[in-house]
Amino acid sequence: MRLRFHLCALPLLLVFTAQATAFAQAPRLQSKKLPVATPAISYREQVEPYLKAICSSCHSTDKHNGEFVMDTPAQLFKGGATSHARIIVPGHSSQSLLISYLKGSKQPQMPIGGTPATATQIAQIAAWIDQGAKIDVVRPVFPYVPAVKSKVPAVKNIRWARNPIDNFILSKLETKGLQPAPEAGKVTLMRRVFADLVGEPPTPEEAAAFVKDTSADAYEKLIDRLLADPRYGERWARHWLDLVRYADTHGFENDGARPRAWRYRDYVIRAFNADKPYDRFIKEQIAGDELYPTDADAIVATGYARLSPWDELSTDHPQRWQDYLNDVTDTTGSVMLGLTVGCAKCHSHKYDRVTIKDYYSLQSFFISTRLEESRLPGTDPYAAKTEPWHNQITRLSADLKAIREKYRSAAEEERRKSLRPGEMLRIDDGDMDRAIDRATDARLPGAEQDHRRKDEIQGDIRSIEDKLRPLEPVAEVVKEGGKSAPPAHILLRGNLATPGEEVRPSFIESLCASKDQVEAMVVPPPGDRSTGRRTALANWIANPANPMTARVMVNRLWQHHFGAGIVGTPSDFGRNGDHATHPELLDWLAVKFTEDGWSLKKMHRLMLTSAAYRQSTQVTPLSAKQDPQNHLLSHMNRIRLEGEALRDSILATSGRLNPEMFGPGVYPKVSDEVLSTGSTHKWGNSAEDQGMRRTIYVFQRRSLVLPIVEAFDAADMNNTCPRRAATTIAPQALALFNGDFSRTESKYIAARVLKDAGADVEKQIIRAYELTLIRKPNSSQLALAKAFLQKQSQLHAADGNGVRAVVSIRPAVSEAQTAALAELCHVLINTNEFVYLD
Amino acid sequence: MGQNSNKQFPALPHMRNAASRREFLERAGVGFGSLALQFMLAQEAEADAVRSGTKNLNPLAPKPPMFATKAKSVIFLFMYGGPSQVDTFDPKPELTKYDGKTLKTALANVGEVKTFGGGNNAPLMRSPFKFQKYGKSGIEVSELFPNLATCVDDMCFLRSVYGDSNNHAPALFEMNTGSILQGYPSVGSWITYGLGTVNQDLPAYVVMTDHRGGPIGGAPNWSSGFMPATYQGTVFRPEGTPILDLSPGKTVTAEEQRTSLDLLNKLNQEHALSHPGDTNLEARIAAYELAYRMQAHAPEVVDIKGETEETRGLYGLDNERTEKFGRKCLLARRLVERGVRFVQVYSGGGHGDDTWDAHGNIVGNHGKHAGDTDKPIAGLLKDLKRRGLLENTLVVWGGEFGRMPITQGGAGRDHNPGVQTVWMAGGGVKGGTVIGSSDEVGYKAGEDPYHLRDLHATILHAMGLNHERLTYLYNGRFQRLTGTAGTVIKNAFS
Repeated sequence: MRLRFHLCALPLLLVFTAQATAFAQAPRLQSKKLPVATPAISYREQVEPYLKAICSSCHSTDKHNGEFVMDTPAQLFKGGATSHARIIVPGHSSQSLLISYLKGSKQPQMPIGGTPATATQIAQIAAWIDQGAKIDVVRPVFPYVPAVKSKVPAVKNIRWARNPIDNFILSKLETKGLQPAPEAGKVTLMRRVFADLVGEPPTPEEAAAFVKDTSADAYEKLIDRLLADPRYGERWARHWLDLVRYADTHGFENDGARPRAWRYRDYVIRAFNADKPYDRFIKEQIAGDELYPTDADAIVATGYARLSPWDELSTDHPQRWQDYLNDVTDTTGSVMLGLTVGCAKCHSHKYDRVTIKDYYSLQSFFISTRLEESRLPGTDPYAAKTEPWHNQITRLSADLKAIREKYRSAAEEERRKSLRPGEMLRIDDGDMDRAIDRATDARLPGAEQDHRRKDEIQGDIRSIEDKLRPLEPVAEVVKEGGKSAPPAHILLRGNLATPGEEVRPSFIESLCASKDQVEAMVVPPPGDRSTGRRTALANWIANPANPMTARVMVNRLWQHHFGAGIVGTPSDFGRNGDHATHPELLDWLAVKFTEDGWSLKKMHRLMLTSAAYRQSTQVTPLSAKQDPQNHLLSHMNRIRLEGEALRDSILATSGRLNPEMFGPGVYPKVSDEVLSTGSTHKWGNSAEDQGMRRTIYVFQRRSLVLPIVEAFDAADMNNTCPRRAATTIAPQALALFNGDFSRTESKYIAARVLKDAGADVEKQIIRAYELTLIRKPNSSQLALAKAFLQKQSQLHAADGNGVRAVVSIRPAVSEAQTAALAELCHVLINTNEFVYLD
Repeated sequence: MGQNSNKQFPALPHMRNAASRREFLERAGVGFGSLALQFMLAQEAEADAVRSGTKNLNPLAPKPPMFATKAKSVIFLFMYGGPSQVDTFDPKPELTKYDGKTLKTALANVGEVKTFGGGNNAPLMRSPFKFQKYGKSGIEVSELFPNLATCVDDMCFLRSVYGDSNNHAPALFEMNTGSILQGYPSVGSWITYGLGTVNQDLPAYVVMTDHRGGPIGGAPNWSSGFMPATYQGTVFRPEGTPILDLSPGKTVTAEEQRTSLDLLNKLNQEHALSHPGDTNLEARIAAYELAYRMQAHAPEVVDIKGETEETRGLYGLDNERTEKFGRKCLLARRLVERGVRFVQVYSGGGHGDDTWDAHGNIVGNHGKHAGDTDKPIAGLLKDLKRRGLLENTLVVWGGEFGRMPITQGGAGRDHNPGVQTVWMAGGGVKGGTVIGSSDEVGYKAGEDPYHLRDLHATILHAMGLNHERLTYLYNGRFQRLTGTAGTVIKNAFS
């Protein structure tokens, strides 16, 4: 794309520039004799972006040096304290001070402290002035206009295309003279879709069965099977949690736990597994309490607006509340609308069509939000688990009461001493506890024992309550308190201390088809508990008429399947984001998505069954040269497993993965050296099998990320993360090659190998390859591995660092041989073949 | 030129929509060719490099500064808990005069006094420590720092630094990242992003926490926020194997490890051959070798056998009290000597009086922490200087906030973001200078107030980075360490 720009656009630019320079030198002449063919220069497209880039740091509402502001054309034409209207004299660039300042013929030359504008750039601005300095109307273009179902393009190679996606991909490839890559091998493809849909590798047996299945729809059946697999929800919920910066703690000083946050995580997993329509998914998260008040899932979903960091110890509550509102507004804009609305917090967006008024109007939908805990309607799925604990508490409370009752008379006696005339004698547990204390101090018979027993019972009750709390049918939600909302104001420069104009709930104007759609129709739902504002917002976002919603979501799916989005910056469809590589395809998909009832699973299926997705990762020299970044998808992108998928895959390979779903976060073992990096790292102790659950169930502490996940570019839990980085750094090698996790699991992989293959070394090697890389070794790999095992066995025998086999097999395998085999498995899970997906 | 026939995406008459942010910048910046643009583009280039494999893949490869400068490394000595300015480097005779009086008596327009822990009307408390003039510059230092005081002619004191939060976590975040909110890249991350590092065998950005625990907030204090994790700080332990997972553990010998690594390399190389042109695969092979080298080099840094008795003594390693912090200061020197870009050392860990958070007793608390660190820090400055490293190393000393001139509970002081003293030394900084002042009693910044963002702009400036041009695109904005503010304290430099 870029390459093409340089190759093709540059000559054009030069031609054009030459003309423009001529204009600049003879402005008077050409203002009359403007050649008909002379291209009109667009202020919006060619002048404004440049001026904003170099001038707005000093000449904007934020910082108006020389009383000159140029945020709007009107301000620009008004000029500053010295230039006034002479700043731009339409039709006469030579008289326009803007040009003089840029040239330096008037001092100080602008931009002060920056690199002077080149002749080319000045010429362009001069030409615009000479053409009359017209302000062109901003024409709505992508992405501000709703998607229409583009015509599926015709292609030459009709045999290749399996569904319309392929026509869009292939037609562009054909224009460039590129060929799609051949289809990937069956096992390669299988590993790819497994990682993509369930985040784990297939078992060797699944792979063998798939290879054997020669039916025409074997691949489609596989896709359907995996889309129905509950691990699909676990895999894809993670992508959503990245976006909404999910965590189980508040962050800041105490980084205190949010014991009920996991209910939102589980809700997302269930929503993906149930193929909840995406519009409904959004509505539930923004306004589930108003729209579906009897649906427990919809109530939990409103936890979406509870996920931002929260400073529990803040002493400045109005600011904290404003930070919260900003965060929920920014996140909603980025995640659901693909627009960086946060930029308009202090000033109207410098690049995109979002004004400061849009921003605070959008924020006003959340202004009457209250953060609450809510008892969930319906039956409690954890009741069976918590009932024994409740019973235990009942029993313990009865015991406690019995102890206290023994001291009732003593407590009454004490209380009488301070009784005022006419006052009723009334004692509480505290009075009785104090009576126990006094009796203990006085060493009365049995008192010390009662005291001790009372403390024990109270301790037991507390620890049961701690276990119980996260499982109570209560969720962290948002609600409102009534049908009226406090007034909302624009905050000048984003500052709470300088409120500006009052705003009403209204939508981002540039995303509305007409002006009369901007103002929100807000209707309080029955019961007068709520303003209905969030319902209005939810209905606007989750709507096929909204130009962003469907496009943004299908692009996210595309990104995860293909390694890069059609728009490469999936939360920024604006001007600073990447341009769409296949805009017509994106629109076709967006319309298809809404036509199919916003079904994610149908969209996955469509993408995954395309020929484009089934391509191998093979690059031809021609495509490497013409399209080095593979924007055109002449082959599949190789994708590295994220930290979570890597950890889950290793656990699946060692056979130790605990498939249990849902519930409060678990704590895999973390070394003391990691725990000591903060002042208050509260890391729980989970049973070993609980620590072996999928990474999505690991407690998400904002100040402490599981090291193996962190090393492989974990999502930051404080910011929305639309796309994981995929850096390659030495600490990753340290984590995976030296870290305790992979070393331990390698021993368990070795145990599986021994169990399956017995004592025969060659069989062991084959099995080790099958379990880790889902294939057999070739002959040279087999030979390498044999030599390796022999050497490692000798070394381990010599130093006595063996590994006791976890399984007993006959004939027995020595500890040194087992250790050597574990080393081999460890090498295999460290290979690029394991970590990257072809 | 990618002309687009679809009516939905009309090609503009002369210049079509930019295909990417990069292209937009290039186009907007025809003739703009400035460093700002270069830095905006560098980020894109990096992503391009990773995708297309046409450029240097290593995001930590050394990059030239934006302008010539002396400082090559930073050592940031973080006094966690918040040291009291009026008891350390900011003498206040007026405070002595008004001892026991209210703030309102001493300061006319004091406004509403806000403490963290209450007691807003508590009386002023004079410093229990004596101040004395030192060096040619005659700068006054309290008796808490008898050793450091002998270095004043190399130090530049900023007595008017202020921040925005009187609460530890947000204040720590602000000192470290410029934002009181969690999730922004730290100063060290920005510098590493801007300059890379010259020694690829060691982490570019190293953090040494206190032996009593980490600071409040933990890892977010050295996080790279929205930037790639490459730029985050690496926690470095002062003994043994300093980096997490640096050693494969006791059950694996060096030969066994090398044997495994050799097999891994062979398999990866064979795999790379069958996947030509993917530099990610090659980069990952290189990363294993790099890790292997790091495994050898990092323990060498913490192995101080080669240091002379005299040098150890200089840092106070011969004294139980100063040994812990002294060792970290010595390691800081060894790290910058080996090209590490940014080293942060914490004094104070965990909570309460294990940190500089002297709520209850300023004499006991500050006496302890100053006593633990005075000699080591002085030793660091002297050792850097005699080795010729001081001019290439910017040393910064400060905490998350200062403390109140009024007392808390009669002997302690509460948090005070209104003013603190931060000092700098080396890296082109003008020694023997005092810049800015607090008000008469040290309650708020007085003359020439400098916000923490100004301090950050100044640190970047010392490193040859313009804080307005060091940007990273995230969420549609060219983010900066200094947000939309920040002024370089130019008179801090000679």
